[in-house]
Amino acid sequence: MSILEVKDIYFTYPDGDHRKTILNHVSASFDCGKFYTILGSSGCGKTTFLSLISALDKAESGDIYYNGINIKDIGFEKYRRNHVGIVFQNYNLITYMTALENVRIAMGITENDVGGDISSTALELLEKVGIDRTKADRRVTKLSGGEQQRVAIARALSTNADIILADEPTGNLDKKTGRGIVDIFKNLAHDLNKCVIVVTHSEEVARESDEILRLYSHTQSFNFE
Amino acid sequence: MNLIKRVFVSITRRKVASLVILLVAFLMGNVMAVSISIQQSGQNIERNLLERIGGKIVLTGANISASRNVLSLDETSYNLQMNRFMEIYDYLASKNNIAYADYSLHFDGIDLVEGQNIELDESVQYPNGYSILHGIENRELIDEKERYIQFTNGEKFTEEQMKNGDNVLIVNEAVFIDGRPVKPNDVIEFEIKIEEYDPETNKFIITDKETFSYRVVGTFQVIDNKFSDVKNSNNIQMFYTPNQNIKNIYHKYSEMSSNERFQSKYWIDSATIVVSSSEYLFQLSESANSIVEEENYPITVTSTLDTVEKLISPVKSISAISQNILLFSMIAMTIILGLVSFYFIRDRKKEIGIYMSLGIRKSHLMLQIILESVLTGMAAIFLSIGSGWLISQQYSSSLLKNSLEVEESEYEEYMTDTLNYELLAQDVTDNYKITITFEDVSILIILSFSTILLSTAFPLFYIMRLDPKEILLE
Repeated sequence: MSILEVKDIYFTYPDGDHRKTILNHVSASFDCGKFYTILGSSGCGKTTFLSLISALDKAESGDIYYNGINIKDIGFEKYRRNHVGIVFQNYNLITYMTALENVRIAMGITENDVGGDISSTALELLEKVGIDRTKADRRVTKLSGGEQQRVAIARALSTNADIILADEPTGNLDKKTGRGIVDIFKNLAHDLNKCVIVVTHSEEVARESDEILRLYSHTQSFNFE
Repeated sequence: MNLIKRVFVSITRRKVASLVILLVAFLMGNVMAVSISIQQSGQNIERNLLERIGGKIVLTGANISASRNVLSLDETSYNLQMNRFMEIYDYLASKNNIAYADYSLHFDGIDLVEGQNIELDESVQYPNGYSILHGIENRELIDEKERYIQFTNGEKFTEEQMKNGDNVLIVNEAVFIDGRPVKPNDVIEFEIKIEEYDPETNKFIITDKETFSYRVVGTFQVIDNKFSDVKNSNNIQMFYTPNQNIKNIYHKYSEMSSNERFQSKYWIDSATIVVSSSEYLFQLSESANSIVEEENYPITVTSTLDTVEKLISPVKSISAISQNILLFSMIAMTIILGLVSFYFIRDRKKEIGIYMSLGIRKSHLMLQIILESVLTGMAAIFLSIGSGWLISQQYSSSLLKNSLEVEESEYEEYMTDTLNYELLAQDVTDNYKITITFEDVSILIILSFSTILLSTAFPLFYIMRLDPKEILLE
């Protein structure tokens, strides 16, 4: 059974007097241990798709199943709390906190078992993504873009969620730093058996993934090919 | 990181926001503390003053006193008036919850026999309209109970002496006989003189006289306190004797005097009825007023409740103003704190979106915002307890002083022979102390806590409407 199954998702958004169809009965399934990229041109619905599978938004019809259970039944908040970690293009860290505190915040919210000593686990995770102890105690605003994105990845990992979702995670980074981030995602999938789904418009990032899902335009909407 | 740590980090790291909220709450807290302390002190002073003065009513038969020498009022009408006064007194004095009561009869047809080596304080020799003897009905000496005097030596009158109206006295130690203070078993001589008008000489001449020997049974001294230091010295007596003795002397005088036209009468100035607790005073006062309203002869009812009401009216005005200020400050604090919190929460839109993306329960998120506001606000309120009371002490004392000065003339008009209002007005200012009590602090905390809690409605409403997708993904 796939860890995440998307069945017949339909989504529209208001466009003047009408509603424009953006996802027209989209279906897909995702497994643990794999690094997926979702490719598509700007405005094709990649981010909408990500917002639906991260339960930040609700589809008009269709269902999303986590481990065979409809996420509506799990509850959107609980699903986000325990089963997905989200990495954003602009990092979305709490600016008045340190890197370590940003990671610990997520560990304090999830109901998953995050290990005995929260601080040392958080430090280990930060180290794993390339943030050493000195940087861990710095306010995130004092870190570079690449470092902030690593903190965001450590935060997504800290809840022990099976699914890591990322929206253009390399979009604000230079090529070299971006490559480093992509390597981390590959390792998460292959070494930690996570289901990593990255939304990107970068072919370069997509080439590094195990599976590429392209969103194409079909008349008024988009779908997986 | 759990909820409490998140709250702590948020308060301590977002310094500007926390300081602004702290400052606003501190200013409002001071206003609230001032208002509460003034109100509470106003209530305390009413209680304390009534407790101090004691709950009593005084029935005054001004007409009886004034008409004792009025030629047109015949003996029968005069006696009817006196009897009705006694009936009213008896009715009220026999009610429940009366601690003690008394009235005094006076008669000015008796005087000390000249030639005795007796020294009196001239200023109080005739305290009650030329009546040297002060009759009492209650052998327990109401003046002692009211702390005007202290019994010092000898015995009080016996039931028998009271009933028979024996020639017995309780005398002020300020009376000197043969150069020494009076003591029990001393004998003091009084006399009745009957005077007739002689048209030939155009003078009053003494036609008859009789001497009465009074035995001193006890002595007392005036207590040196402000309540005994009354303006017209009414309560500083020289000689107490049973009321019945006054009646006996009067009857003797009536027998001796053939000319009713020039007869003096015995009279009553006032009767005092003291309740066992000031809480019963209102009831007694109402009861007395309802009776005297229907009387043909005017009887005045003066209650210490009226006295206190009058005395503390400036305090009450200040309390009423402070109550409005308290209400206004609570509304202002809710709005200002709410708007300030709302302003800062808008800056934290992204942070809230992050919490939502991490799946935080909305209830926990709201609790975090509430705790942040409440902890910062309450810290300010605790700081304002001390400063607020300090300000209120300065502010209210000067306000009260001004109010009392303005109303000074009214006190003068209101003054009766029951209490010294000038001194009591001083007592109001002396007793008007702003103190921090547990009750005051509790009220301040409860009111400010509710106000701060209410002010979080603005930011909470804003949070409820936030969409994390819009904040984080677009």
